[in-house]
Amino acid sequence: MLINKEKILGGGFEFSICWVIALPSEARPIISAFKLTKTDDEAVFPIYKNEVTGQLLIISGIGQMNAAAATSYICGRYNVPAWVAWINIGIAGYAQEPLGKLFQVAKITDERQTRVAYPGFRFSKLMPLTTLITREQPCNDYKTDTLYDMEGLAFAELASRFSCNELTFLFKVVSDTNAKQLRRIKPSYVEKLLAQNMRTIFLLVDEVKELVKEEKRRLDVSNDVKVVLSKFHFSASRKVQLVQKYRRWKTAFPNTPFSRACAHAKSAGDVIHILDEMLISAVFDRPSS
Amino acid sequence: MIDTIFIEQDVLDHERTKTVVSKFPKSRRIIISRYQEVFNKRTQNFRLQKKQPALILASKHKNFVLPAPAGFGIGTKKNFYFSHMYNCLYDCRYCFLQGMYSSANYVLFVNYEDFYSQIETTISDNAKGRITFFSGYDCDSLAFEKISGFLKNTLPVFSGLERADLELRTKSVQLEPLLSMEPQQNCIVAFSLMPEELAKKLDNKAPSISRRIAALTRLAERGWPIGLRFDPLIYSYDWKEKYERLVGSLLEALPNESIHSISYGPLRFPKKMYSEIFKLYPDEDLFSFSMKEADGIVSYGNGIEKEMSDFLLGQLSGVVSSEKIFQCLSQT
Ligand code: SF4
Repeated sequence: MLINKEKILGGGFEFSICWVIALPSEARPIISAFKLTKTDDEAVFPIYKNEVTGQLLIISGIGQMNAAAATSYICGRYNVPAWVAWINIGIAGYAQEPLGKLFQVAKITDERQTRVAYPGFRFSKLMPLTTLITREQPCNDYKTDTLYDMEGLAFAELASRFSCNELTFLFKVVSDTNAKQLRRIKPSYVEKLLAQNMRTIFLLVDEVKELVKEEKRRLDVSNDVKVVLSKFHFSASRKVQLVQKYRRWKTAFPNTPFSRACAHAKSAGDVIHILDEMLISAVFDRPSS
Repeated sequence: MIDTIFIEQDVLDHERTKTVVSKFPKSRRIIISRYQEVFNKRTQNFRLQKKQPALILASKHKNFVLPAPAGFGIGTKKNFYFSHMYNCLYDCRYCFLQGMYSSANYVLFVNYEDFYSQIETTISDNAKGRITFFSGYDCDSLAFEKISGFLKNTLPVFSGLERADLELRTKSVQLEPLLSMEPQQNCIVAFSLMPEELAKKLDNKAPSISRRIAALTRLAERGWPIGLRFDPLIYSYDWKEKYERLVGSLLEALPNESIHSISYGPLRFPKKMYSEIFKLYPDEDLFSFSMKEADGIVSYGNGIEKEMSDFLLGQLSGVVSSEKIFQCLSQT
């Protein structure tokens, strides 16, 4: 029941970004910067959202299992559409200082290199790119030039299925470079590392939103179509036809209101027929198009 | 322009890898085991990736030279193609590559010599008659030259091959190394062309038609055999006037004897490929026209195809010998 309730909530929600974050201390700077508020307490994982900016955030806990579960959970609970960007942000170990340096991950593997993912539209102008190894256990024998975390790979594999590789992002802040530093990591320190990168994170979010907008334009079903679908019964294959023909029709006749074109339609078949009739006269590069 | 280079472990020390990489000193290099692990991932978004493709440097292991699809050719019976690169700098809206690959990243195979030895084997396996090799089937033959140096290496190979022709298919106006070399009569520089108004809408990131005409005029002056490729023919409002103007300006700019061949072909897609491309660009004006589907092929239909072919042939008739004109009926 709860899932259904949230799906309905999700229905009115202009989704743009889903954050999947392991630790509350990693999430707090994001929650505060993007003014996210906690949703109901019955959820299996803590979930925050901002309906105005279309952001959801879930705190997964540590490890790949948790990251995968939380990613699937929020996707199912909110019926997250395919154009939404998924971001995993958090701390990671690295062989080199400076601590607090923000990276975008361009390649992730497990330790044995049996699984590999290449997430993300790259924002190399905003931050350096690097590789990440997702481990099952924390440890600090860091090789140069590779970050280490405990969630990234599972997140990337799942999130990219829910949207796509190019809208799946992993950003990591260097938290430690040796055993001593690893032992000293405290929530307040983690929060500080994230908070000091917020300027870049704001820029990233702006860029990500542009990509989301473009994907939404490509994938979203227009309101015109939704109205017609609610009015007449379309079989599954007719629905696909309607969506495609409508896109072509709208491109060919951008100034004709759909309601006017279909004013006399009495059935799904009529709508398809009207579109077909009008599309006969559609031709590429008409002076008005 | 390229911010990330994925490099197969096996070609890390290849001289060509080093040369290419040195051209992008600021790029991030990421080692991979095989190019397919990046290139073939199913969840990639071609359209978003096309905004900023990465370069993948790899080694090709097999299928260096393949028979060209039936219906593809410029006069010889034996036609082959090779692809030293997948994907293209340009972003033509009708390009079949966007429906064929899940990735828009550029793959460059650095082991050119393996292509050359396979080309030589193909020639000796086909002992009689001329053979045409088509480059630029899965990429543009010239556009990436400054980075790949492919032609600079390949043209000398062909200069010694008596029974083989090489077609370079391009929209690029980057004319090196052609301008600084002696022209080779078995190397045809073939430009893909369509009316300027249509190219402006469809040939994204590619040089304008007037720049292409200027480029092929320079090559013709230097003595390179020129190919004119009206492939695909694009049906549009006022298409006759548009094609008439295009053919007129080409014939005015080019001496007849410089034209090695002219080929033309309809816009056709396998059904699945058409649907992939439509999904990527559902608001593209080109696709608003009601294409027909028959036997798994999406096209303008026989009537329009014939009308367009006949019209083009009419424009060329009496000016260019019909022996130089070929219809290309392959669909990708
Ligand atoms: S130039 Fe050719 S290969 Fe390149 S995008 Fe255009 S059609 Fe495709």
